[in-house]
Amino acid sequence: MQDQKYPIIHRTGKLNFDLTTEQRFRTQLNVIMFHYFATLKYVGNTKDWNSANEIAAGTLDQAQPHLVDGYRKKFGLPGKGVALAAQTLHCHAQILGGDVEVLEESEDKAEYKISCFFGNALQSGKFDDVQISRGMCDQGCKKLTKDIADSLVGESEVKRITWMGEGAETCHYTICKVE
Amino acid sequence: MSKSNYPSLVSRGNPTVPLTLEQRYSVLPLVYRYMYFSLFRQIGNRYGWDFANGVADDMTAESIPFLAPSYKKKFGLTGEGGVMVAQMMQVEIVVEGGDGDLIEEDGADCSEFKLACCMGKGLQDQKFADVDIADGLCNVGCWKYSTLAAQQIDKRYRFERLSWMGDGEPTCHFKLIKAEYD
Repeated sequence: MQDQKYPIIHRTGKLNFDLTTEQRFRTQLNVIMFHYFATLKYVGNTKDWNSANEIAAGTLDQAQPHLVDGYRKKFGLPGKGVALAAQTLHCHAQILGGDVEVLEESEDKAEYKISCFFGNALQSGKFDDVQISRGMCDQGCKKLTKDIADSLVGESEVKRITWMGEGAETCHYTICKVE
Repeated sequence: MSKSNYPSLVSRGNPTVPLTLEQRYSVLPLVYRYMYFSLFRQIGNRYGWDFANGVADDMTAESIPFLAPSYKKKFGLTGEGGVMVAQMMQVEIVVEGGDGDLIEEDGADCSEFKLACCMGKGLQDQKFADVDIADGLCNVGCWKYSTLAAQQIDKRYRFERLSWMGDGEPTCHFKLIKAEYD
């Protein structure tokens, strides 16, 4: 087993089984989902749900400074301004097992729909006892969208037209640069 | 974008930069590691590190008993007994972006292996030096619960950890032991 950069995509270690990238991807997503909801459920139940929501939101807050530059360099994102903000968020959604439909994308305006793996979890019924959608979606994803756009264009207006937390098939967002 | 199946492996929508499965997986374990340490940083700072490590303990207790049989079925693992649990540990590490090297595996009771763990690497990263979660993550989460999972099969099993990434080692080195006495 050679010393490699993590994650180790092409394994060199010898084990009595092998997993494909698809198997690793699918299972890692399930691990993340279980871990995320179970951790916040524990905090919500043993402390309070307000704190659990603040922690959920804080996790994305801490991530925000690294996302744009990290994804721009790694994936060669071509956009500027609002388009770069949207492309950053679209990469994040894809990495987390979601998909994206772009309706409009320019330096000043973006409109898109995201089918979100975590939003789908909210609708699954499995996590109905985890009251975390405010921290995850409102103070988390929606705020992250505005923070990223603001960091690139000065001031932006973000609207979430539909929300998977309310049963919609996708989260439909617009981001506009405020002149 | 047609009605989605989750997870989406390859985009059926029209993102400006569609990511391949490999590109997605090349970041996903880092997102998990970042999320894990970030969640526990906040929990530890609010409620203390004993509580944070207790959360990690509780969650593992909830999941580990189901993991070995579930991974055995899902991935067609061949191991039985304690070796099935050893293979569960190896699968978990590989899923999370790591690798493993088998030193010895025989029958149901003999397994010795090294794991290069993405989360263990996180413990060595100065970015997470303020997150005092090694006990919940490694000692309890990985080591203790693997032993408990093996002991559900036979009480004489335990795992010895001969080296630990939390001490700066490149891998965690485990050996399955079955005591000779009842």
